[in-house]
Amino acid sequence: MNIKNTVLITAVVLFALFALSVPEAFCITTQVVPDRINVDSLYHGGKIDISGVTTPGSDVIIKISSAPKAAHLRKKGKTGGLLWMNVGELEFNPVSDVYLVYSTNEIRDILSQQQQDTYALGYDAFRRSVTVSPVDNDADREKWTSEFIKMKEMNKTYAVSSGDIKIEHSTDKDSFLVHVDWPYQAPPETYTVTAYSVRDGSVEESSEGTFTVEKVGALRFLSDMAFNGASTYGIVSIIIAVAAGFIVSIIFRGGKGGAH
Amino acid sequence: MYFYLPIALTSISLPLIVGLGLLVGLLSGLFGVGGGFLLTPLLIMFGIPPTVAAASDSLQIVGASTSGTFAHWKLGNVDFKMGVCLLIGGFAGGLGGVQLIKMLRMMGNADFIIKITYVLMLGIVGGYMFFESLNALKKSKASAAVKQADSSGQKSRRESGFVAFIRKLPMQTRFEKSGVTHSAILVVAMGALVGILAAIMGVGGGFLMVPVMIYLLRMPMHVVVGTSLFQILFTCIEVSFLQAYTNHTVDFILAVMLLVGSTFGTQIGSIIGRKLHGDQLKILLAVIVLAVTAKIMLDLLIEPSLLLSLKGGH
Repeated sequence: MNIKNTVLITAVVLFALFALSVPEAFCITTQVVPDRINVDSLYHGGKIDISGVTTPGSDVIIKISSAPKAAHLRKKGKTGGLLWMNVGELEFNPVSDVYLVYSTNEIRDILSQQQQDTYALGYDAFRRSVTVSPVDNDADREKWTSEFIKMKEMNKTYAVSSGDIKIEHSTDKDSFLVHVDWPYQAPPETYTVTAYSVRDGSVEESSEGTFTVEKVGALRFLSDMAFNGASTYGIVSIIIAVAAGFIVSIIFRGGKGGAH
Repeated sequence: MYFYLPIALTSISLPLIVGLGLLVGLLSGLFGVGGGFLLTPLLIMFGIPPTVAAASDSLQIVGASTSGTFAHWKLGNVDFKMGVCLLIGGFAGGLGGVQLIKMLRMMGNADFIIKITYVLMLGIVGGYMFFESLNALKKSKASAAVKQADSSGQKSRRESGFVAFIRKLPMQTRFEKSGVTHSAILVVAMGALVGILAAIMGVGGGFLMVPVMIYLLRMPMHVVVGTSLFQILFTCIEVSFLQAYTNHTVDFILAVMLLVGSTFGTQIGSIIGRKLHGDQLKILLAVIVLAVTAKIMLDLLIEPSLLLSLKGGH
């Protein structure tokens, strides 16, 4: 065996050892259970489990959001330097009805700013992406974006948190799971769940799932009628209200007598 | 126990909403006010979107005022002739008020005008009713007949200018149930005035109509309550239908939950009302109106915790 062959064999063995030492690259998977939440008359929010597997040692970020659109809100300000009242309207665009982000570590610690912006992950990226109009300067834009986040957080439809994702390590994969208390304030629509596998400040892989929040039964019937048969809905509502008033009057009739 | 509301798209506690309905029904039965000036802000406070709160409130007032009107009609306390005249004026005034608001919105200062009108009207009405009723209660306790004679003499002199003016107006009509004679034009004009103010403020106008009936039309308190409820019933039927048809903001489930409380509250209110003196009723209403005025003033003066809000509402 000559030296040339010895070097070649050594190189192959070293490469094989190196390749074995690198964890197998997984395509991150996502599962949402249940994938449908029925909104009936007694609905008061729900519970969702988001789980999946990813490359061992990676950080995981999970984002739940709906289709972005423009939101129009009233802004309050001081009039005459004394009285607080509505002083105009603001448009925030693009924003989702719901924006819930869960991560294994603080997003700014595990993801570069450029990657945060690319994948719209975290409040810092949200602040940089949203346009507010009409505003005169960046300070105002920052102020009103913060107010928007505050309002949505109070409504429990926006949240960014770290440490809620449970990770189970094994030799060839990591399993992740997060329990989400779904807020009843989130409107019925289809939501997208995206799981990101993050390593060295960048997103390695991502995987998407969806779930639908939908009105059912009598609640759906009333809602459809209010929008598709508005005149019937209005007349029937008034007749029922008047009838209810009469019925209660008749119930109380026995106890009547005298005047003011 | 929570119920999900199909139009408001939020979940709300049943006992809380029924309790609010009961409270507002009590006010309605006692004073002949719809209670919108109190209930709509409370609903918004508990997470109902402003446009849905205002529209659903108006539907529950339909139920509560039906109950109240029926109860007072059985007692002979509804002046239908007066009520119809006020309604005609109220509808016309309401239409005018809506146009006025549109103009103000185009000029960009509608919210300022609405808030200031709200505070001024509530403050003036509440303050006047409070002091007038307080004086009346003091007088009723005073034994000195001379003082009473002097007082009534002064009152007659004070009233003479106004009475002379309204007696010169054409179409003088006798309103038997109220025991007063007024020009139909004056009554319609009063209805229109309240209609304009109610449209500007976004409320039914009961708390404005009641003082107008008491102090300007000189109607007896027990007829005022029944007639006011009659007038509110028709105003709110119109508003509820328009809101359901044009804005799709009437939440039937919310209105029913409120109605469960308010229809019973109205009946209880009318029973309690029969046991109270007219001036005691007026002073109670004045205190409530002044408390709401104070709350609105505080909201105007203290920086709100949130500087953004959803559109709509009062």
